[in-house]
Amino acid sequence: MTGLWRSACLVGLTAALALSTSGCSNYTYFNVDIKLDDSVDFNTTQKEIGYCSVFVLDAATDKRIEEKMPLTTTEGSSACPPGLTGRDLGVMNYSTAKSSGTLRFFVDMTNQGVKVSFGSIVQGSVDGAVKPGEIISLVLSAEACGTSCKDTSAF
Amino acid sequence: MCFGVVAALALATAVPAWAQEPSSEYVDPTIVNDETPEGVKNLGAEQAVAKKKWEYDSPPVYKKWWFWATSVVATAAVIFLAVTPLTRAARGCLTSDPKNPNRVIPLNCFGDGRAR
Repeated sequence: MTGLWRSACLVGLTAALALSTSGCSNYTYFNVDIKLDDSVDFNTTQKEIGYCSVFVLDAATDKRIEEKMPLTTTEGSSACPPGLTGRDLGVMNYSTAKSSGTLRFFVDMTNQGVKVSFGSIVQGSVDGAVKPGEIISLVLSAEACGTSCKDTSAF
Repeated sequence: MCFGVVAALALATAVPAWAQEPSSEYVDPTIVNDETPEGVKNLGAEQAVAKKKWEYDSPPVYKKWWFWATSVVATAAVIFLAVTPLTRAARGCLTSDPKNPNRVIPLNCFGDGRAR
């Protein structure tokens, strides 16, 4: 009986170690391609964009799991220079050590406060399921949200 | 005053007199004595001896090698599980798309396993 119990313990520990090396230490990578939707008018809304930020949320709760990040290029310059935001902003990459769940990438673009009061004018989000060890490619299409823009302070 | 002294003496002597009244004394029924029936005097003696023998013959669990081996493995496993995901760096960030280097503009590269 003692020998059986001992063997069971060793098998259990080996299984736990095997699981930990195969699952827990693997990251899921998200490549999020950020674009402007056709609803964003080039002459008005697009030129009004002065600042972009990205939120990483838990899709189940809509709560932030990362601090708000300004959308920047890898060189550190803004991805949304006032009046010069392109329609194809680029690809951002996010890594997570989570083993399950779904993440929501939310992009918020605010105006320069020239023609209208300062606030969000373009927003978009995309969800991606966590799959450890995989690279997930997503396309985030940001739309002109007008008066229906979400309040990002609630995240 | 005289009445008070007499009353105090009377009360002081009355209490010991009441306390000395005979009372039913509790006797633990599990204690074996002369009044214990013969048939129950050694009840459970054989089982008690066998239990003691097993206890003496089996060394305590902390004196067995596999106890310490399991403890060491379990401790190492817990440390490994707790530390490894935090120390392992995530893979590098995009600098361009190998298929179409002109199209991709690399943006933020952040998350777990990366410098903040």
